[in-house]
Formats: sequence, structure tokens, C-alpha cells
Amino acid sequence: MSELDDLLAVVAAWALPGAPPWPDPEPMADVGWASLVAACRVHRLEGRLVAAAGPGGIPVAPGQREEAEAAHRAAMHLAVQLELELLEVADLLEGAGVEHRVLKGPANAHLDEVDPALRCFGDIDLLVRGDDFDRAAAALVAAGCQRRFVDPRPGFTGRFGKGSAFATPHGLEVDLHRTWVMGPFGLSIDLADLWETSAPFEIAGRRLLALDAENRFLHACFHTALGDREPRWSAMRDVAGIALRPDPPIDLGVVRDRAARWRAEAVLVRGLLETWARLGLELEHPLLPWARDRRPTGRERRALDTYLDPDLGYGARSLAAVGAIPRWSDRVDFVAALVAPREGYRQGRYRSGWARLRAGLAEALRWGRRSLRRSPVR
Amino acid sequence: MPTTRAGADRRFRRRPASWRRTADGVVVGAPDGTRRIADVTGVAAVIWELLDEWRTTAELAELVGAATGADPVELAELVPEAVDTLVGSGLVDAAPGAR
Repeated sequence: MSELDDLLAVVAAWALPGAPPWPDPEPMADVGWASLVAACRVHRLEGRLVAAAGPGGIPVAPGQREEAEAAHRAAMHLAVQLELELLEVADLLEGAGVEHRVLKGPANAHLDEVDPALRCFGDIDLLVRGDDFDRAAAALVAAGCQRRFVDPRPGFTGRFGKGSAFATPHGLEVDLHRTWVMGPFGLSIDLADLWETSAPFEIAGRRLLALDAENRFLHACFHTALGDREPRWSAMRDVAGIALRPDPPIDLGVVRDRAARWRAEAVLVRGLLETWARLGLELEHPLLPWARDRRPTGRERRALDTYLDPDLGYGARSLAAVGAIPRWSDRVDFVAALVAPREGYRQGRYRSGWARLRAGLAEALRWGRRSLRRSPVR
Repeated sequence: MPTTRAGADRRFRRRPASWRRTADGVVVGAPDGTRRIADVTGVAAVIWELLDEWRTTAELAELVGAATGADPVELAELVPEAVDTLVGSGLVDAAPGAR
């Protein structure tokens, strides 16, 4: 990790038990401080930075705290704007008869923080059922939202996809999810588990539903382990914050059981270990001994590669996803949709259908070769 | 006795809104469908936090005084003014009569 990463880790872990202290008793030079504030904006850590900056925390020179406060104020304007958008979208979906669950930012802010102002976010994420996906998308489009990417074939996302992003008329982003991630780990989640329970919270007097605490924790692990090759600081903070919450604590038995049934134990392990290592947390957690001892299976390792290997991407992940689709007829539909998508699908992504196919095949071959070279017991 | 809308014979409560604390107050999404975002600062921000239930200006002045240690004479003037501003901005509802 870079020096800036070390500082971001301290900010992200601020006020957690076992969190590392700020490394320097002297205030940073203004240039360094400006870089830190900018990085906190990128990683949605403005709330943590303001909480940490000042007496007993990060030492600041005159003007530096004000700089952090200005960044936080802007983040809070955005959070409120996004919550107003969320309320409108929730009304739209309910008008269309679509049940939904609020994911990530607003849900974590209201349910997992002592003060929602600590958790910043940059978009709205909502979970809808696969059977409702097209109806939900149509409701958003009818309200003036623009869908960023079309399905390779009609109904594809509702059956196999992660979801889709929409640009709202107010210039904000709403992501509709069917599952948490694309590819093999997204397809092996038992989605019924995400709907069976819920956690209510309120925005502007309106009751909304989020995932239960165990699923919010697992989602944060998925986001940390698979969301980006370099895990996001805000996602890692969610992992640690929910894992360490004292009252009520999450049910670790439920977490382990769901991860096992979803064939996602490797994701839980990676989410936990990355979080504890990168945030530098010194406090032990009951799941850590298990996580440290557990080795990924060959299938898990091959699947993880498609998310984490910089030479692999959509093509390899799609190929790996085939094995996670239970029914053969669905596998045929999945492959057919990706090999021969409808007109317009590749627009803005590939020069031609042939170029797209060639890129996908090259990636799939690379993934196949790497998988074969790996020993399944390594 | 103040003669403003925020007179002692009225009660006040914040309207349901999306809002957040900041270092110098609160950021509130106007609950009127306009998508206006208001920065509420100073004594008005303290009052916003206290108006999760119906309160009179006298009650507010007492609570603000306890929270901030401000001079009661000064607060007797400041609180009704701030409440007037919040009501005028559409962020706070007013109702007649004491509880």
C-alpha cells in the first residue's frame, strides 16, 4: 500500500475498536492534506475525516479542518439529494407493483452508523426480484431515466444479470440490482435469502426496507472481495463496522450458513481478511481464525480469478458463470445471448460483433489455460 | 412578548425530511418536492435537532440554553427569530395552542 493508502486506512477505520492510530503527531503539510481530502472524496470517507480531524485525532494546521468540513458538507448535500431521489424511485417502483430493498449507502448510513452523516455515498442501489426487473426498468425509463446498457437479449438481466444502472433526469445514478455481483458468485447466491428477512428504516418519515444485518455484512464482504481489484475503503469500513457492532451483534452462524449455501465462503474469507489486513485492525474477531485456516477450493479459486486477475474480465467471468447456472436449458440461453446478442447491444463497447466475440474467446482461453496450470490443492 | 409567527401561543415541529449533520449545522432537503437543499446553521440548527416533537419557543429557548449555555435574554430574542426563519423556509410546521 502507498503512504496515502496507509493514511486512508486510518481514516476509514476511525473509531473502530483496535483501529490504528494516526502515525504523525504533527499536522501534514497543506499539499499532503489536500491530497488526503481529495482521496477521501473519491473513497467517500469525508464523514470519517471530519470525525477524526482535530483534538485527540488527526492533528490539523489552521484551515485544514475547514477544508475537510467543506468536503463533508458537499457530500451531505449529495447524500440528501440522493435520498430525495430514492424516495421518488421507491414511489415509482411501488406504483409499478415492484417490491424492493435499499442496498449499501443509505441503508448502511441509517442502520449501521451512530450518525448517518458518517457514511457518504455517490449513488442509489436497489434490489428487485428477477421477475420484476423489466417492469422496474420500464417504470424508471417511463419517468425519464436513461438505462446505461441494454440487455444482450430481452429479459437477460432479470434471469442472469447483476442489474443495470440508470441516469436520472436530475443527473444522479440509480442502480437496479437483481443480485450483488455479475458472474459465478452472483449467480450462486440463493436470492430467496435476500428477500426472506428485512430491516426497516426511515427517511423523511417514510418507511423503507433494507437487507437484514447479516446480509448487509455479506454484501459488504462481496463488495470488498469482488467489487474492484483494489478493495474500496468504504466497503471495508462497512465490513468491519457491521462485524464489530456490539448491540445487537450479527449472528455469525447465519452468516456462515448463508455463505456456505451460496458457495461463497471464499468471498466471505477474502472480504474479512482484506478488511482486517488493510485497515490494520488489531482486534481479533471470532470469524478470523476460521477465515485464516480456510483454503479456497479449486472452483472458488478459478471463480475468484475472473474477478481479480487484471488480464481477465467480462468474458472469463461469463464463462465461469455458466457452471453456476443450475439448469442446462438456462445455460444454453445464457451462452446464446452472449454469443449472439441482439442488434445494438455492442454499441459503444466493441467495434464489431466479431471483435467482441474474439475478445471474449481470447479471455476465456486465457482463463482456461490459467485454471489448468493451477493445482487444485495449492 | 414577541409578536412574530413564533409567538409563545404556538407550537412547532420539524417536517419529515432527509437531513444530515455537518460541522456547522445541518443540511436539510426541503420537504416540498422542490429538491431545494437548505444549509441550516447556528441556533437554527440546534432548534432543528430539538424539533423532533412539538415544542413552544419558550421550551426551545430553555433547551437551547441548556445545550449551549447561551444567555437566556439573548435566546428569548434569537429563538423566535430562528423558528420564524425555519417556518418561512417550509422546514418546520406550526400549530396553534400549547400542549
